[in-house]
Amino acid sequence: MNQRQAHAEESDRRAALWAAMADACHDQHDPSGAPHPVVDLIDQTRDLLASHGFGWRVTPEIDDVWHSFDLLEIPVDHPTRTSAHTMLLPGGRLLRSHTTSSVMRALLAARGQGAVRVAVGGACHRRTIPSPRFVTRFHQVEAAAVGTDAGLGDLIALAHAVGDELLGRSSTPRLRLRSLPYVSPGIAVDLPCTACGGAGCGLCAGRGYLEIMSGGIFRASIRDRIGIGPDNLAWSLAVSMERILALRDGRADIRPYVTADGGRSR
Amino acid sequence: MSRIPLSWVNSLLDNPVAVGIVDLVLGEMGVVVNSVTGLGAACRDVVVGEVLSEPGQPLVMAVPTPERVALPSDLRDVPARGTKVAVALPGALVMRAAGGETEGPYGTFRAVVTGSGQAVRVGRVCVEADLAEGGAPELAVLPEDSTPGAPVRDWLPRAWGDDVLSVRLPPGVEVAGRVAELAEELVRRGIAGRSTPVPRAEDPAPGHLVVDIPGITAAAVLIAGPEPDILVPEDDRRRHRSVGIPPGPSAVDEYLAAAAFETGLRFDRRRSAGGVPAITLTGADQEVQVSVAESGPAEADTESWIVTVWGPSAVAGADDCRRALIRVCRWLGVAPQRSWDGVGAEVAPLTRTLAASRFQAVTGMPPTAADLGQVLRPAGIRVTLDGADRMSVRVPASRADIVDEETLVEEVVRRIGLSRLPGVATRAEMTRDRADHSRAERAVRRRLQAAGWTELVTPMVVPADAEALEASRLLGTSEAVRDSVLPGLLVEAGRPAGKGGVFEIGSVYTADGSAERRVLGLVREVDPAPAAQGTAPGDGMRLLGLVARTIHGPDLEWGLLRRDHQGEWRALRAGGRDVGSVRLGAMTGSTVTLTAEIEFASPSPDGSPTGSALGSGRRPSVIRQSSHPAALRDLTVMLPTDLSAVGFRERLTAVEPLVADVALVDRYRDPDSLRMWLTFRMTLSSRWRSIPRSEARELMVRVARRCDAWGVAIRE
Repeated sequence: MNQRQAHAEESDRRAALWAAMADACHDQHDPSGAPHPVVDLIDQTRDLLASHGFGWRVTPEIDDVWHSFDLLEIPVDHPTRTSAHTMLLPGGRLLRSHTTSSVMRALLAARGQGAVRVAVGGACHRRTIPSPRFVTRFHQVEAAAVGTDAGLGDLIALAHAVGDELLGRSSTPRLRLRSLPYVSPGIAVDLPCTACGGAGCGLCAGRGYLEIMSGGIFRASIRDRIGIGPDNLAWSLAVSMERILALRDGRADIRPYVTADGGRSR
Repeated sequence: MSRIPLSWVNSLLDNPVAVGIVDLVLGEMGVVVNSVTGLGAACRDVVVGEVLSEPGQPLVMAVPTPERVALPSDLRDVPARGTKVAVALPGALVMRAAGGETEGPYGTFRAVVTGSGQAVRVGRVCVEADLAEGGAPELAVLPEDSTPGAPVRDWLPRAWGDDVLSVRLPPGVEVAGRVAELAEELVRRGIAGRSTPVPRAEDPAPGHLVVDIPGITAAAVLIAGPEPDILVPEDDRRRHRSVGIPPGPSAVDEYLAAAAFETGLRFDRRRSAGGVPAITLTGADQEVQVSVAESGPAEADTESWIVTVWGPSAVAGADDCRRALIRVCRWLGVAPQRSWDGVGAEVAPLTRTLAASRFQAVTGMPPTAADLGQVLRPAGIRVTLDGADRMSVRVPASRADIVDEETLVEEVVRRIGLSRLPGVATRAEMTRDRADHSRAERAVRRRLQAAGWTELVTPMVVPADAEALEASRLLGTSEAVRDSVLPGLLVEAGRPAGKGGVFEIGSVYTADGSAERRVLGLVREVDPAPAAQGTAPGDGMRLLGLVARTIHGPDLEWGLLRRDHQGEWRALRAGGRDVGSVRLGAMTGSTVTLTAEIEFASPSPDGSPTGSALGSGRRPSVIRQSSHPAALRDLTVMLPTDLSAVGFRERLTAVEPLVADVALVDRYRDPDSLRMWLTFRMTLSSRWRSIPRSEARELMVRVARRCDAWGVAIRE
């Protein structure tokens, strides 16, 4: 083998090695890949909440009756405790029907720490007839705060920040009181329905506004249960991911977002 | 609040319309549809129950709650064990009202005692008359194959039951809730047809007198002349029967029952006694004597009768009562001679205390006790100041919703208006994610997306097959929580997707104590040549190896698991245990399907870090890519002696999520002070949007404040 041939073989081996390494590392960008829009929005919301000091907690999607209902003082004969409304599993377990149960877990773990700001999120499941407004599996991100200054002002400021970041500064949130068993006062945040321009459609049920966030100040009895000091307040605010996407896209239906590809192919 | 059964609307139309159409039309008419609820067998809260007791024993039912309960029953013959019957859960709408067991004109509840001695209202066993128009008073037995806990409508013909729309009439839209107007609107829009005009009636003009009823809102009309001797039209009678209102002894009885159903209020009528009328309202739990404040006309001289409607003040306003009476008068074709309405007087007001400082803590507004008193007085709440901060509050008995300081604060907020409360942001330091495996998930997702993989989210609940674990089966259904993400991905992989394949990171059920595990599933068509030769796993496998090492560390091992007719399985092992599997499927045409499932950590109960479950995986480092233009801002600073340039750069990087990158671009030593000025270039970028100048400017102001707190001098 002469020197030139040996050099050529060595060059080939090096080229093959580099090709294999490049292939394995996959540093080259392939634009055909895409995130799921709901998961991507959860990422964005999570980043936003991180900038406001909320630490992310990963909590179970398979939850239990105690965290979901008992801790929130939902009466034992409330219909939502039955399989007609919630996906119950044997042994007191269930598929999480709202992320407030996850907030309870996070706050219980942080009891005694004083001021706390946490965020949780993911899929929730409810038995319902799928419609433009409601689906059986949907996604929420929920932020919660504990502290002496964790009042409505803090909650309202975050609601406006979320609206500004996720839907643009031209969005005009409308706040109203909302009744929930575990908060007082409870609030809901509505935004103008972009699908119908406020004229009324299936998504907003003719109201012209769509509720995208809800929450409130936890009742004192619940604050006692999760070990928050008497001087501290606590609130939570849940954000509906699919509804925000529907408002962003001007789509009068949230069902495409809960399909496997998040409505990209539709 | 009004309720409109769908069958009532359809009875006025030639062809029936769907409930969704009615919902839509009502919305466009400005009527708020609060809910659409099934009635009778169509109600989701009427579910399949299974008899567990033997004949002769007290009836024990398996109802879809976490525990079994015994339901007392007036059934003479307890059905055989295993019989499937219909059970109305609390809140269910059923066709008939059954004596003292009902609450209001619809719905059934019954107090039962569980094994622990606790009283629980669960529901009651339904007879056929509860479920369908014209049903028999016999137990409604469902098919043997019906699933306990499932709504009964899944197992009964569509003719059973009805849909009811609960609507709220906004101010100024009085007539839109009426069935006739709605039917007319549907005809006008061409959605439905009707061969004859929809009947209409003129509003009677009510008079004006006052009725004083403690704790209750009520209204009454005096109608001159005898009760109308009319026949209920067959259309109306059919509508009434469809919602369980039986034919009454007279048309008045039947129409009053229909009005009670529609409005949720109580109706009564009696002959006028003449002179000053005294009306007795007999409710299910109280008897109230009502005195009319003004004397009526000489009704003793003429035959006349009085129709009364009433309800709790918290539920019904005077307008609701008046509107309901007008509707009854229309139906009966009579004109009222006089009318009364009024709200009950306060009885036994409750005394509570409220501190202005508490209000300020909750709302962020600093009003004095005097201000709060001024806000509450118009609500009928009497306020006595006990100093600058505290006050005693006497709440009228009619406001049963105000029970403590919290609800008082809520009432103040309601009266002030939420929009007038200031948003006071509590500025907190940006946090880093504590959940390590969550960060790893995110990094892996981005890596896969960048490599051309498409992310999917497939259903968590799947049809239960014979192999599904009992603990993963959902109560009352034939569904179960998935134990793998791969079946869902394989279904979706057959559809057009990214050419790089599809993946999902999601939760699956696991039989161990944690019950839940996060896994990564991948499905991709790969080049068959290397796989066919059995020498190399192909490019898909190499990428998979990279991903698996990102999660589980460099000590990841690949092992041959088994080979079957579907292809070759390889096990992924890390830390001495299996963490996933990979399969190269059988060749189909020119491609081979690669499927893989790799385990992430299990979520901890409180969301705390679970780094140990991650193995020794190296921290994934993924540079964020954005298709939106970035904004660059330079910051020239002089650092304190205890802060290094590297440390300052790290702090700047973590100060806001929009700060995608920070680089040191220049340095300059001041010849006078001999201190070093450093210039950092900040890249402000978002994956989801562009950054406007105003936002960048605000961000830099916040950065400057933070630098000030760190003792860093900024050169203007």
